[in-house]
Amino acid sequence: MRLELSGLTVGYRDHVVLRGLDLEVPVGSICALLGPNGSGKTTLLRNINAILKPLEGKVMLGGRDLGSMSRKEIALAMAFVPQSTNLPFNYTGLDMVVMGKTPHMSVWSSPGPRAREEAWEVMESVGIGHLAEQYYMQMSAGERQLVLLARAVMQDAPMLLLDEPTSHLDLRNQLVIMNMVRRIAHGKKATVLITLHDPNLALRYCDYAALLYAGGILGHGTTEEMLSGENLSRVYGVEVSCELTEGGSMVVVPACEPPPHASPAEDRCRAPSPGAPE
Amino acid sequence: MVSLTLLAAFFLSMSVGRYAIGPLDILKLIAAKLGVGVDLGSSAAAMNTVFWSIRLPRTVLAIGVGAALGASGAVFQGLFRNPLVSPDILGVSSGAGFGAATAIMFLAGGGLAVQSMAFVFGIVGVFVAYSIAERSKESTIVVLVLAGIVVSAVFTAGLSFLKYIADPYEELPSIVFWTMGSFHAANWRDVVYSLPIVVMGVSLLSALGWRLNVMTMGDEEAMGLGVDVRKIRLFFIVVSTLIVASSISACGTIAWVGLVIPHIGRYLAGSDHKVLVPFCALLGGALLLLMDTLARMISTSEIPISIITSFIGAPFLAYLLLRKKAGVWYAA
Repeated sequence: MRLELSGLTVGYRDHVVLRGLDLEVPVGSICALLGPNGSGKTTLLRNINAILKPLEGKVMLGGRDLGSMSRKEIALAMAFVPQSTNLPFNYTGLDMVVMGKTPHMSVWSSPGPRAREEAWEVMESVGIGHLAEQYYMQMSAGERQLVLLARAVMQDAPMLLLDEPTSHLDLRNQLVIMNMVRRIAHGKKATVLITLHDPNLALRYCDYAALLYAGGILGHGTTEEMLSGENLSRVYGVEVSCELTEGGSMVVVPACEPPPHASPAEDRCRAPSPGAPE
Repeated sequence: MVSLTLLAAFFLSMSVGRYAIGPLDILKLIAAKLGVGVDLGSSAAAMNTVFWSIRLPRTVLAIGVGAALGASGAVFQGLFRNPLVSPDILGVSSGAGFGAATAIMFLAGGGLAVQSMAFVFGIVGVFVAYSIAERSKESTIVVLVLAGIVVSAVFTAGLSFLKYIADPYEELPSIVFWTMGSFHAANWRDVVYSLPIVVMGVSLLSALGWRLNVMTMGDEEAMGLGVDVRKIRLFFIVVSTLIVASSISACGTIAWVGLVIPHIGRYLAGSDHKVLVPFCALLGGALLLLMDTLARMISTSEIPISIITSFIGAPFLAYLLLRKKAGVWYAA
């Protein structure tokens, strides 16, 4: 299912966060959404997930305007993977994953043994069958994120939306999660939009990248093309360069320390091209 | 297990009191009512009256009210994602208290007027709180709770004012006694007015129990899972409010039951609201009935039930906190 943003302006009643966005994510590809803190990644994500309504423009999912779809229709088309947060009550891993079945059921029903069996199979396929009986709140951050990912797989939607899934995770778990996301995208022909902080993860796992900068989108294209040293230096306000490792992978490395308390726009490390501060 | 407790509590409650009826006599009385020829002995008439007109409606009402408070407590704690919440949080109790006091002071009509006014004002309280939250810029759960606190405060102030101007010999004691709750005046009319609502309400709440699990993930995640959060939340609030208002309008406000029962329930039955809500209804019914039995046994005159529920409920919660097993209960 193709995701298309056209002329999208998002924000809150009294201020616009991002103006006039155009973006297209083709079927079966992974698009990374990058940008500094406060650049509007989360706000954009909440619009794509129809938690917020766009101020202008449209979010199109498989050719349909999101604004005209019911909550249930949206959930059947798109699964959202949140950052793992604390829950007030404790559920087992299986209980959490089986909730992915919600949009497939009527309001009055609850998942039976078949759905639980299915949830268990999904957990096995994500490699966390051993977490089925464990309590969610006693799991590590990495395990929780995998449970949430499994829940999205259970939801069985052609589009996957992930909100910084790697931000609390150690090196290995970051790779495990991203690898799993890539497997889902390419295996199930799912379209994935994912917000990330680490350009190296994006370079390694994503097909496309979009950079948010100064209340708009700097551009989007293939990750190699978008995540150039020049673009990243400009967006994050710190000089970085892209280097090729001996193994042939592209890595992003900082080239100098950022000055303390400088906002990206007035960065003196390497005066980047001018852009309005956010 | 809980059903057995409830059954035992039923027999205990039916037999003890100033006029003792043995468990065997209870079975005989029921058999006689069903038309089976049983010899009831010499005191048949008195026993019959006590059993059918006084003790049975009281017992049934206590079970119903306990079930309503237990189930709605579990629902509210799930809905507000907070184990400190009780069904009073949106102002139903303070509204009902104000309504009852108004009826006691200004309306003729006795019990029925008090009951109707308590019911109406209980619902008004929640309606106002919900409307405030809906009209606010961000209609989040926090705003809803704050609106509930505001409404409760205003109605409590109103109640205090009524108490202040009330006739201290007649009206004031009735108001105070009402706000502490009691089943001493329970009759079949109370049962007929409140029980159908409670039974239907608890069934509806239980039927949507699994959706409530999804709601405890928080609004955004629940929406992402395809739940129409506003509609479902409104459903839970309306049904819970109806059963709580119809319960406490029959017997006065009852402290602690709506808060403690869900904790005991969660401890015994886990966090799945599909199981937890009906479980808390049974548990609430059994425990409130036991409390009421205590209330009329402890001394020769009746003790208001809130005194008993607080005296036992609060320390019991402390006990649960101290021996909480990690993970089985809710996470901190």
